[in-house]
Amino acid sequence: MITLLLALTMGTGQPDPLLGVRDPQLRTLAQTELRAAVQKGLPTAPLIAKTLEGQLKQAPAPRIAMALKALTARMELVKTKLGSATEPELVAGADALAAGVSPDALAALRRMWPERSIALPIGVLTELVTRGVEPKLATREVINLLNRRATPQQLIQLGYDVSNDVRRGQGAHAALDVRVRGLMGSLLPAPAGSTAIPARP
Amino acid sequence: MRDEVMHDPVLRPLVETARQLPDRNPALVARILAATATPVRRPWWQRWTVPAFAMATLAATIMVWRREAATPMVPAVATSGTDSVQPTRVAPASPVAPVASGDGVLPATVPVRFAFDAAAATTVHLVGDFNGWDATATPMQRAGDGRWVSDVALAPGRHVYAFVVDGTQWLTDPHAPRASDDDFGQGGSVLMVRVP
Repeated sequence: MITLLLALTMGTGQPDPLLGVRDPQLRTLAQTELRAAVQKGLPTAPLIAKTLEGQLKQAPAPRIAMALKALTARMELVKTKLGSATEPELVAGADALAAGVSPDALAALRRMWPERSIALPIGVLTELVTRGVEPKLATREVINLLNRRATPQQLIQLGYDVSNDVRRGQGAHAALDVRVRGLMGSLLPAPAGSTAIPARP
Repeated sequence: MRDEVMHDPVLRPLVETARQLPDRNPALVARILAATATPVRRPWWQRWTVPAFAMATLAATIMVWRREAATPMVPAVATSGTDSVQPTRVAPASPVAPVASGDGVLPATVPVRFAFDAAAATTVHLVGDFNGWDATATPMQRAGDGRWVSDVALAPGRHVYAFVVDGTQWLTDPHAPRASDDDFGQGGSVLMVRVP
């Protein structure tokens, strides 16, 4: 049954998704993890990509298998927190968790955008945390911006600017503070009755 | 006279199609309709001239209308803020279809040019989350002066990528922010793809 599900998910008649995996041991381990993902209702494409990434980085097969298990667990947690989630949301969410973003932060983003893809704001949040912004602060700022109707373009620009500021030597929190203040001036006030998060002093 | 036109098997579909056109150029549509409403008692060659002209005009109108209705290509402004990944205006590899996201509308993809300096390399491939880390999916082209380039269409947002030189060597972009990798210990580079 599981094999059938896996075949259906990966597309019967399609090329073997693990065709690029040369190591037989890795192929066997990866197939096991793909079956587990299908059983949990998770997409297999991110796991195939992770397998190829590990192979490219010449990681040993058992280590790649561990990475696949960890990715499956993260995607499962994201799915639980978001309710229904698209594949880009699952992948972005799993990356965010790996970077240190809390599962509850993802749920909060979903509440802000219940009917829209939150893959993009999750990506921006991940970028901020990766640059050194404390996860709680980064989450609060991104949610505040969404609450003030910041556009996706503005969110991307924020992540881009903070990232470059940090590369130029600025502290992550200082960079975020300056960029958010600059952005807030162009945004609408938080709508009345919204679950506004208090602005920083 | 209009009734005669509507009984003509050649002209009738023309007229019906013309009536379904959007109100882009009412004058032109009216001219087509007027052209089809000419007297039916004519020499055989004249009987075919008007429908042929009307058909050609209608076809041209439909082509213009469809071109106007198509989503325009969004000019790329996506940059990584580095010297290595550069903005470009090349056509995207896949059609650009707008998708609603947040309060704004984002293009599905934005054309981005990757460039990498590797004069001694025999082959360079671009890998990243956008091509499933497939080392064969996106070969880069030698562009002279030791530079390799590749044009790809990426969704707006955060992407992680790297370069694979000569099939085995994993190299990050020296000009881009780094992405950590707890799984395998070799991080990639980060690109925030922006939109206009």
